[in-house]
Amino acid sequence: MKPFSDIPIGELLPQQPPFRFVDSLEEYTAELARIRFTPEEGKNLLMEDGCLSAAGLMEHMAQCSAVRQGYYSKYILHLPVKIGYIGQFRKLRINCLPKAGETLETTIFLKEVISNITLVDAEVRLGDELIATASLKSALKDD
Amino acid sequence: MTIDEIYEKVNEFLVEDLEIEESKISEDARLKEDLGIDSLEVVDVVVLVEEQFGFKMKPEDFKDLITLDDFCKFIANRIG
Repeated sequence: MKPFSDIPIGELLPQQPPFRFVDSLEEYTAELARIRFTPEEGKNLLMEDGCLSAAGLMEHMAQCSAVRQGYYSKYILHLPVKIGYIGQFRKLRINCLPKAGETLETTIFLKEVISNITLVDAEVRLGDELIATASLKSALKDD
Repeated sequence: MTIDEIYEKVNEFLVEDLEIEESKISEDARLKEDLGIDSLEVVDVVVLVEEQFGFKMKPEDFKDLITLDDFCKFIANRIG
């Protein structure tokens, strides 16, 4: 199995720069996935006043969920990565917005999968500080 | 656990976790039409029932559950 650091993140989700809000998969287990991302002016859309906007942070959480799903499809099931859609954000809490150049570490906790719908919890950290949380549901496009 | 305690727990997670307006919740409220518990919400309900009542519902269990009363009685039957 490839080390996580050798996996190009673009293999795991369809979004491309400048609308890609994930940089690397750091860890994957059956229960969680850990993803890093450093927003930068000029590299990413959805930057405002030197910070990643709330919309950008939400997109980051959604893309982290997509990375988890993409890794599961490609490296566990050995199937093509499917297109997914975010169905719902719930319990969104944003304590602060990250500045350009600050590295986020986001953990996606798998809660439940029923049919093609996946429920995960997301925790976004900046160093030791928990800066955002949400519960989100995604649906995979049928073949 | 009494049926009243089940209603109380269910009401609590409908309001706090599913963010359903308390005014919409009643024993005869229909899960889908009145409370908006559709196929997307069923995933949350499965997780919440497992956390709160200790058993795992299957999606097909929802087929025969029309009202909140049906849902609470289903839980009562499952947990004995």
